[in-house]
Amino acid sequence: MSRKVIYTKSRGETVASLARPVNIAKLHVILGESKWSVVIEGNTKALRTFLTVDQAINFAKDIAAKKTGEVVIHEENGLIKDRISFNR
Amino acid sequence: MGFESNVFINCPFDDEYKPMLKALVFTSIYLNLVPHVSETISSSNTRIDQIKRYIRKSKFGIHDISRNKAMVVGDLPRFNMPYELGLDIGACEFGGKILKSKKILILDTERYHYQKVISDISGQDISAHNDEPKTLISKVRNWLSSNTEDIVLASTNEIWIAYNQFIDDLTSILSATYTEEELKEMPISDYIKFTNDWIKKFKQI
Repeated sequence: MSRKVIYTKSRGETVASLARPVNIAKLHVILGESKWSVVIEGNTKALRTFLTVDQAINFAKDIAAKKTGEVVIHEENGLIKDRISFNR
Repeated sequence: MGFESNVFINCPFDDEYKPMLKALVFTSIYLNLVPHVSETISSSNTRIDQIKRYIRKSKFGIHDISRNKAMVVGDLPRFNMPYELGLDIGACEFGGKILKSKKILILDTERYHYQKVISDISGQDISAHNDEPKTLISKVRNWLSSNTEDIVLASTNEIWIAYNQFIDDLTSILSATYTEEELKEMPISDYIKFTNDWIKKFKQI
């Protein structure tokens, strides 16, 4: 299978524009050292940490549900396991 | 960007290793290094010449020898990685003043596997990542920190959190246009460009 060139300058800028979101409340659920962290998109520090992933997801859902938001749950290797969107 | 900020990455390119490679490239760029990955070389007959050029122009070398064994029964182990590692160590050992300042990190899945297959590298910086991207980020970050005096590097946790967000942003934009298979096959040179653009924006405060 031949490889497609996927990168273009404008596509790179589109991906980069998501690094600093303006209006959307996106929360990431990420496995830290031993606890699950809830992190607001664009930040490098956890809002809160939890012992279990379910506790972290519920906390993130509560926040996202108050706005137009999204909870992104990551696998232990950083890839995306699930997304939950909320519209108000 | 010159010798001091270049890093030569010598690692496997199989699908199983992709999350590790992505984390490794992201960490390098996040820590202000310029990664040079041998997969980006297109022509096989110039491959080794290009690798030698990368070795010559990179202060840092990161070599993952975890595929120095058969991954599946019936497969053969890969020896390109230890060969290129040998070239890098040789450049450091026998090169001029600048090359003697090279820093080399050897990564493996398990801590003592190398002793069974390539015991002569004892005495080098060797770390085990357990095939976990976060552990890999931590090992690379801590090794760079110990080799870059007077510079305080971002913490492992900061890099890991940023990396998770980047993967989400990249996936959510590209999955609208490309299939999962196409994204899996994305050239590493494209991935490096996306990473550069994203980190530049992410670090703007």
